Amino acid sequence: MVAFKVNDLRVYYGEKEALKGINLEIPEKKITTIIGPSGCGKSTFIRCLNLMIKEIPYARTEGVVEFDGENILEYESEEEIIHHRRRVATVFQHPNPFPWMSIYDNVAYGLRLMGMDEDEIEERVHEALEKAALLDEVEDRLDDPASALSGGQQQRLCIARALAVDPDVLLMDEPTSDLDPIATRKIEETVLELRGEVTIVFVTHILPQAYRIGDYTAFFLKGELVEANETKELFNNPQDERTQEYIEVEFGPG
Amino acid sequence: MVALREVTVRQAQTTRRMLTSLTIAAALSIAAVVGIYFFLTVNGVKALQFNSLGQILLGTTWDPESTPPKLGLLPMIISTLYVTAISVAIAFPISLLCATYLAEFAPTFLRRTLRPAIDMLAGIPSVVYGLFGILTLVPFARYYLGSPSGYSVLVAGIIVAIMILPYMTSVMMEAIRSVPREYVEAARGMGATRWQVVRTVLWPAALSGIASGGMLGTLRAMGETVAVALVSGGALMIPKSPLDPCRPLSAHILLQATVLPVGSPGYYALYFAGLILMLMVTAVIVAAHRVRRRPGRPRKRRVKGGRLNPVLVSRLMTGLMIAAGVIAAGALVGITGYIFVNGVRALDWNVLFGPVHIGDPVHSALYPALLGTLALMFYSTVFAVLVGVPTALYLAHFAGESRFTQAVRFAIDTLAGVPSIVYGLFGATLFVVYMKMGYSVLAGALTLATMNLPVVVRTAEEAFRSVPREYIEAARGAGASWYHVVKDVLLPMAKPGITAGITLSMCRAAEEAAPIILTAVMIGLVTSNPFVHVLQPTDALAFRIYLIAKEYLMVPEARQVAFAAALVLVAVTLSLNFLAIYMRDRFERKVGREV
Repeated sequence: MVAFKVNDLRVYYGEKEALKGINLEIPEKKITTIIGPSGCGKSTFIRCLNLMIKEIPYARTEGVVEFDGENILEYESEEEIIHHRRRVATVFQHPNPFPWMSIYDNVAYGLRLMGMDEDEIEERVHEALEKAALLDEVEDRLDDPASALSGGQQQRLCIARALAVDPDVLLMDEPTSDLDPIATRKIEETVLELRGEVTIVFVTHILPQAYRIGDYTAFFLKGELVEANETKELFNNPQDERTQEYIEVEFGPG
Repeated sequence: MVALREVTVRQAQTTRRMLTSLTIAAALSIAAVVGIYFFLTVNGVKALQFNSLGQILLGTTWDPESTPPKLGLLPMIISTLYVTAISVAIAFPISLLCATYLAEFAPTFLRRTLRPAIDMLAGIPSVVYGLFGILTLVPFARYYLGSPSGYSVLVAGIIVAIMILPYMTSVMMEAIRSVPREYVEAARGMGATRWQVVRTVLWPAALSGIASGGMLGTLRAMGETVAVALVSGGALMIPKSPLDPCRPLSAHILLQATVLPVGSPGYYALYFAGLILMLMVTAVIVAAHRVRRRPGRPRKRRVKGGRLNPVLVSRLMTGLMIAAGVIAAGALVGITGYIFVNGVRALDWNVLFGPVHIGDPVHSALYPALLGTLALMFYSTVFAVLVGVPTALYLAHFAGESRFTQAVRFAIDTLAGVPSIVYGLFGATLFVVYMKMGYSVLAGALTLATMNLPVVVRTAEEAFRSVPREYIEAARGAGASWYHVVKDVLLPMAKPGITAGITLSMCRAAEEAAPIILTAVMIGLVTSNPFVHVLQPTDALAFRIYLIAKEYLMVPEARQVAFAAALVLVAVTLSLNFLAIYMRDRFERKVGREV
């Protein structure tokens, strides 16, 4: 099954073409990692999947991103966009829990936006914290401010906040780049636990990470999709020279 | 090598001397605030010799001449609270919505135009608002709202609301603008509508700035004197409805201080009124401080989701924000336009440079008033800068965290919250009477300088602080003495920021009528050159407008002169404000901050 079907996707920031005709299928309930050097269009691509691209006034899109049978790029009304974002949750690069809210309130945030009643929220908050592998660490201090958590815990809190609304897709835009190796490993484990439950698109510039957690991997370069394949296949047997070169430089030969 | 050594020794001496002078300047700030407290308390407490505390606070009769004197201040206290409550109730929501719209929703070009425009409008003198109120809202309230005279709590509240709108909006907008984008993105990414982003992210995250804006507006509303004295009606009664006339504390001090003899029971009671006003101010500051500290502690869980369609609510609220913006812009454009159109029509050679008639504010030309205003601006700014800039330099770079530094900071913060009329009362006693300056340019300038000291210190300190450390270290690393760091790095780099502070202080000196009415002007005109004869009283534009609006509107040509004076005054303050904003923007660009 396919979650996203991307067809000839182009994005322009003013005159600059940031994505130059991307064709890609993102499989359902698998982990797709997206790799490439900075400025290759990884983040722009992610922004198209959750329509955050529409928050940038000077950005323009062409092509088709099909999700659940509809081209989401054609969504213009606030209703459609918001409905879509509640199905496609995002974890950002820098951990951004709301510091003026408690741990609990952060996870409950999306549910309250939807107007869910508090009893159900309480259940869902615990579930989400459990899935994000954070529950044990914060169970007895749910009313503490979110800012009291460590960087890695804050990022897992953001994962919990994203999972609480029970999304179909979880987009993760370099979620470990601000974290130390131990916290990074913990996030990776959390992500691997979620395989099979939710579609995950995981952007990273750390190739070993993409290799460790990915089912599928897509390699972006200068706004183009160079190659996409099963992760093992892409790393061990790259078809394109540019992929081979990038992997060799970043990973070391072999 | 001997020569080099001599130079070093000399520079070290200069540095020591510089540090001493900076410390002295900073100590003067403390002297000023201690002086104000001393005078207020000592004189205020003397009122208790004539009436008990209960009689003053709860008494409803003001008759200071009778025996025994009746010094009841309750009607004034209630009037102050009433007018402040109405104005804040109107201005706070409008400012908040307006600021939110400008910070988050407005297209960039609109924000770029409106931000300086709002800051400029903050520079319209309060006496001009008073004139506008008397000629438009007062008759409106009389004919259409059934207010007995038109002079009323409601009109005072509305006028003050319009006055504090730009202040509140400006501070709140800055606060909302500085909320990190990542939180907005997080909320949008979760599918929050734009209104939900405002309610759940922008306002909570900017809470401290919003509270500051609210506080600044409330402080101004409480201390506002001249406009309120003009439109409140000055009635000595407890207002029962918003359509009744009233007399807030500040207006009461203004109206009575020129009438009552120094040292009379009533005069001491005015000091007591000043004390009450300062107490209220302190209460507001403390309350705002409480709110500002809160974001660290997350609030208890509560249900936030609505049953209504959130997208629809979002659209409605956006509409409401635009409506608030239109109301605010309409009010301010209305007032400026009103003054501008009428002023241009009224302005002619004769009004400006015609003959001068002593004792006749209506038929006398305006140029002595303009000269007087300029002289007051000039001398007060010289005094404020001489003490303020060194104090700022001291605080920014040479003060450790000693008790003394804390005392200076507290002094500056307190001075910033003191209403201008209290400065007037202070100056009227200290400079006019005790120092025997009489009503004079000098007494007025010293009073205005004390009032503007916090403005100058704060802007200059900010300017000194934002000089990047690397430049200072580069100079120090090259062997520069602190004296040279100040002379070659700090002063040149901070110059635009300091100039902005100076311009603001000049602006305030031009627009404040209350302090000079008590210290520098006399009923009737004196035609000596105010720049030379600093021990003579003088005429001033703000005073002229106040006097005409208060007592001469029946005279046929009075309006023309008032409008002309208002236009000249607005031209002075707006161009100064424009200069200050321009300087600030240049400064922000210089130190690499986003404008």
